Amino acid sequence: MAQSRELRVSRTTAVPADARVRHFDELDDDSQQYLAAVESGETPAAMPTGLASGDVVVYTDYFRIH
Amino acid sequence: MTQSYVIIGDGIAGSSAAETLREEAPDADITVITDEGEALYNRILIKEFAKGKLPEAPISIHDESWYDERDVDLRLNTHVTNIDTDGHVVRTHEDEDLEYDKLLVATGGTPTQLPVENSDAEGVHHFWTFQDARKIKADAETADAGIIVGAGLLGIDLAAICGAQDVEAHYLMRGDCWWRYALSEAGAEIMHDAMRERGVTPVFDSGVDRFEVGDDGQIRGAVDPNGDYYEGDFAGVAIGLDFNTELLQGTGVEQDGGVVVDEYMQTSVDDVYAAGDLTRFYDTVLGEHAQNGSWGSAKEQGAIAARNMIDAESEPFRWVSSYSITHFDFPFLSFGHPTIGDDHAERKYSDTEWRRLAFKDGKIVGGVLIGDLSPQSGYKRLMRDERVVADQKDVLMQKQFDADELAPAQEQ
Ligand SMILES: Cc1cc2nc3c(=O)[nH]c(=O)nc-3n(C[C@H](O)[C@H](O)[C@H](O)COP(=O)(O)OP(=O)(O)OC[C@H]3O[C@@H](n4cnc5c(N)ncnc54)[C@H](O)[C@@H]3O)c2cc1C
Repeated sequence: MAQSRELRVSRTTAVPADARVRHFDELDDDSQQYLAAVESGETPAAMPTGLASGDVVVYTDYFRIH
Repeated sequence: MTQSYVIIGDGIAGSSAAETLREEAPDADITVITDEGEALYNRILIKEFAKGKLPEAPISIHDESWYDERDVDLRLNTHVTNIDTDGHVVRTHEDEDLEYDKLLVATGGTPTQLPVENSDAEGVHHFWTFQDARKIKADAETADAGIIVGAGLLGIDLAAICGAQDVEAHYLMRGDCWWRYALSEAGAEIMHDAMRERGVTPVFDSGVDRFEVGDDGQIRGAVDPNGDYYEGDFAGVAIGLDFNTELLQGTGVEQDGGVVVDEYMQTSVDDVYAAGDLTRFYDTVLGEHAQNGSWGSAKEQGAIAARNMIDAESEPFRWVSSYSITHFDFPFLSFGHPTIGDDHAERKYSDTEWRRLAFKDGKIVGGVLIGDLSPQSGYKRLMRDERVVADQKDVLMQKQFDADELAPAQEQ
């Protein structure tokens, strides 16, 4: 869906046991804005440093950073 | 001399204070006391566990080794019964006395029990702890019909749990719409439709007069104030929080519907600080005392309290909070204080897009966004900057809000 810092965001249903799972409300403003843009179908430029590979974020769906 | 810090409560406020204290006072003695049987966990994800969507493991945030590694003395299953603020001592339920130089009270709240007949019956749930979530999950998995009470941000979590667990539910609300203090009917209708799609039927101008119970003590249904009966072998109640302040009795710590603190999280009593849900804090953005129950705000208050416990009045709390609902396929976010204000603007953009801003003295003090969160950071910035903008509602309510289209800020 969105790509930068060689990381991608995609919707997921499976949560790996070692994933760091966070709720949308735990994210900083930049990460929230980024994910909201991805969710609405945009491809924002840079992935904020607040999101890291392996993270799963609970938002309108489960979103996985990888 | 080594300072000793005692923190009561290992929720996000207490835990964030412990983390900040250790980072900024490497030699201090730090004790964290909690009456729960587990260290900090992610309270805002326990609903996902109860829905059956997340396993237990990722919900834990700190295991006990986290405290060991930081040389923090964690006391689980320990309830603080009272505080001697003159002697600087806290007493536990086992009559153990712990001395402190600075104390942080971060004890949060306990869900308010519905004051009606049989509200303590089997199958009637209140929702705050991981233990509550485990019971809710177990019961919801076998229930057929549910009853939800409390038309606010926690009630909707219980409704979503019913939806996810295939429990057909009636959501009994007092007014004519969900979260009527922050939403108009137009905005709330989007939420009602989303509930209906998940098998949860909103019932307005209702509530619970009493629960009906079977011989086995299990809830069977509820009667509302209109005399209508709703079947249910599961009920979820979320009508508010009673703050855990019994331990402050006799301390002289000022309370006013919450523990009153200044912008440094300092209470009215020397060396006693408070942080998190239970505070009535001086909000430097609003310019008056306010309350907030959200994860981000509690975390920030804990960190700010810690800095001021180390170095008094060194850093004020200044924060625009937000709280979102993630159960539906459209986003929902409220920020600031959407239920207060003397003026507002709202607009509906589509069947799943709606926005409302609350103003006080011409400044944004809060808002709710449904369906499109893109204006969020712009609105929050205007709120933080305390810009007078209520006279430019047309610009604010444009679908593609652009802060650059606002008239330049005047000297205010
Ligand atoms: C189901 C649910 C969903 C939520 N969803 C969201 C959300 O989506 N977004 C959001 O921003 N917020 C959400 N919240 C609110 C958020 O979780 C709280 O605002 C936040 O956790 C408050 O943290 P706290 O540290 O102030 O209090 P708490 O987390 O309540 O911690 C207080 C701790 O102190 C302990 N304690 C109390 N009295 C004593 C005593 N005398 N001695 C020892 N220990 C004591 C308690 O047992 C508890 O562990 C949700 C809350 C719940 C329950």
